[in-house]
Amino acid sequence: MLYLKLAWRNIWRNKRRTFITMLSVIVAVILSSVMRTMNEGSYEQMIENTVGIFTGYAQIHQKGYWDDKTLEYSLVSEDSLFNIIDQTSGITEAVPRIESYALVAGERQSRAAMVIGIDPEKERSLSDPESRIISGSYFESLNEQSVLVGTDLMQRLELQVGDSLVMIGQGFRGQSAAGLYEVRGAVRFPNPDLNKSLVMMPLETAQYFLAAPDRLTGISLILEDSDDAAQIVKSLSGKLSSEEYEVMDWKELMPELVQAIESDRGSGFIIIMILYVVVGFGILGTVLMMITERTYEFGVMISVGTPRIAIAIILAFEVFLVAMVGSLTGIAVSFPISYYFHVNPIRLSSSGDLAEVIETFGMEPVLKFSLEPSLFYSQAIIIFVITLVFCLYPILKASRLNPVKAMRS
Amino acid sequence: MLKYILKLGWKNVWRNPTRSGVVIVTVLLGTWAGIFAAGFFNGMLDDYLKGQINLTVGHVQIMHPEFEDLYNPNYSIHNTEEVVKSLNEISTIKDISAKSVASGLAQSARNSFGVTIWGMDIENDTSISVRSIEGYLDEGDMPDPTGRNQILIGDDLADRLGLELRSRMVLSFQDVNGDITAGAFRVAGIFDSFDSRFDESYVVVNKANLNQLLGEENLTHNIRIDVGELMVADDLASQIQQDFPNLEVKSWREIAPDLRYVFDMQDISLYMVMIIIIIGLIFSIINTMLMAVMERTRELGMLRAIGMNKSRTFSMVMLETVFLTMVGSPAGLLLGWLTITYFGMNGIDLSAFADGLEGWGFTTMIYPSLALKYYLNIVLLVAVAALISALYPAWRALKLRPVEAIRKFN
Repeated sequence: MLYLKLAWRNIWRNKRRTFITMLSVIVAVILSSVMRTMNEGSYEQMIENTVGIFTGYAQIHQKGYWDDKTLEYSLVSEDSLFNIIDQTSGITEAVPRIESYALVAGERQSRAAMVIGIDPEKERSLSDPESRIISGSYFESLNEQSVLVGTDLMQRLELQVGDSLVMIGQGFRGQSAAGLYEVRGAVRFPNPDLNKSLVMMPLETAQYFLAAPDRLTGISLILEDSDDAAQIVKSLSGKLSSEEYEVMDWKELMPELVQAIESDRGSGFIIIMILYVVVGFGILGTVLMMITERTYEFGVMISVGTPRIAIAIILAFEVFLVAMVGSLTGIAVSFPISYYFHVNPIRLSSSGDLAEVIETFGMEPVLKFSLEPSLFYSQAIIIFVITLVFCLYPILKASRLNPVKAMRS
Repeated sequence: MLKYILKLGWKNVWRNPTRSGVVIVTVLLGTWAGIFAAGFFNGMLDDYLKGQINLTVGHVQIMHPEFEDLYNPNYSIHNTEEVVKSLNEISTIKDISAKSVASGLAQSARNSFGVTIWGMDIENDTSISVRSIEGYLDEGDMPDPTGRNQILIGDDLADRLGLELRSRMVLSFQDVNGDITAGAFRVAGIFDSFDSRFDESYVVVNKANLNQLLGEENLTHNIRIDVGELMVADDLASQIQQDFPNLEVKSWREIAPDLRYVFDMQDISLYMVMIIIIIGLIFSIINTMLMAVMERTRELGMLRAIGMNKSRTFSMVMLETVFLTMVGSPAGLLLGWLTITYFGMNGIDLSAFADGLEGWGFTTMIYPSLALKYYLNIVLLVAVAALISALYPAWRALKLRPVEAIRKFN
């Protein structure tokens, strides 16, 4: 207890010294959490831009569909299935879709296209095609004979709103699928690949075209909180027959996105290790200097009979307290910084080349920081541990002083 | 007088080796961190871009101005021979590959999928375009130029369509007359590249076979050019554009905005990381030097009391930092160069962090590399940061009151 008291007094004895030491810890926490939140923020944006607006955070298919995306693995749209989904908590909407490929043609041109049948009302909560219509208008019913076409595909097929689109493909069980539809509008999505190949139809029209009445290739689930995806998938899988259905969260649906993020996280890990080394040595330098400054004091203490272990303990308490307060202050300071950049993301100069490129992807050219709480406290804990580890050497050094030399210095 | 200050500064450096050691190590680590981080980013970017560019876009592409929008087979390059001949005279060009292209539907008994069909002159074309696909060949061989309608597909397309080696499939697309034509092909080989999108949506056939189906013998829609250096592509493209104003010449930056995005985004990330590291370094040095000055309160007070003026005290502390930086920076430079050279040869394996998944367009082995000028820039940046961070401690040294400072027993 005496040691703690002494350490406490030492801390307040020279406030500037304490402040400088604490500052090195605070800055370390700020830098590492800013870096982490910047990285994680860009992943969150990436996920939201790809998963959140098109795929959905979770999907239900007929078992085997995701490995082999053909209509043969489509599921029958049954009320009992939707009832089970309705009864699962955390799901706000179930968006039915039927997807396939077909050759689509205008008057002079033809292209291969991805055909998606959507429920015009339910789809609003996922890809929200109405808000992405560049020209023309949205579907009014589930069975009207019309389509929405991706902007680039429109251009390539030399089509205008109101023109007819011929579609030829393969339907359910190899039946041939052919039809003539009016182009209702042009849609633009953030993903350039979609714009080049997307044709949207009302659900029943698509089911009729593909000779698959009442069948769906998948149901995308809109979740209250996207973080719960894995848990909701688990509880749904329990309720649905695993022989018949597969329920997947976005990580299973888009492994390449997960991979891209993981690989980037890997490189981020190397970079943050480099940062730890730099700030760790900053802390070491500061503490080492703090102890060198107090050489005389320790010399006196040893010569009046303070056990060496006591000096080490007092110093350890000091470092512990300073590191603790420093880490907590670090969180307190870095949170507003990240919060600021979360609400006001860094805008990459709008005239720049890069901003232009990002905009072609339909994303906002901004760097948005994450506010995930675990990022802050994990960094604070890491820096706290680094501080303690890096301080072992100075503490040992102080307790091994030669008192005579120390007092002469 | 400067001589004495210099001498004093130099002596101070060696008087307390621990203190100097700490500052030297801090500068050393800052330099190393800057160089290594830059080399790491650079290596990551290089691998990714090189793989992507070799496989898909190349450095420069020449097309009919209408072709890219419409993929109408009529929009071919009419004077291919003349263009290739003139390209052969440009010494920076390493590889030229002329192919015909069609966009259509690949169908098997089980499924269908939209693909881009490349008609390549496999017999005579030895460019990197053909070589890199050949390098990713997983099963089978390149299409035999003498055989009839052989095709090379990616493993993802093979899975999707349920195809195996020597399976039959049908490609349907538009011919020069605007009619839909279809041809049956036999799978000669399956490639598996790092990019699943490419593996899924590109197929390669013999140019002669494709042209026959398209309905005209000597069609070329796309001439791809590869050069030695990524950055000269833009200039080369505009040079060729001047020679052939009727054709459309584009560099990879225009053709593949996603690659440009990766390239420019990495640049920004690197920039941000450097800023963070430099801030970390500056704070480390400020704190260490500040402590160093506080530790020497008595000594500095004494110097002031016996008549050393403020500007000399200031320059003494600054000079110390200069000396320490001069030791730390080159050492960090050397260490940085050594680590980059070592990992540049052996690579850093990121698969441990990437859950052991195989890469999709992103390689998990990273080979850091860095051009000479970056080394120098970083050393300069760190040196400047070190000097700036010494300003405040040196200024604090001036604020000491000699009388109080001497009285202070540490």
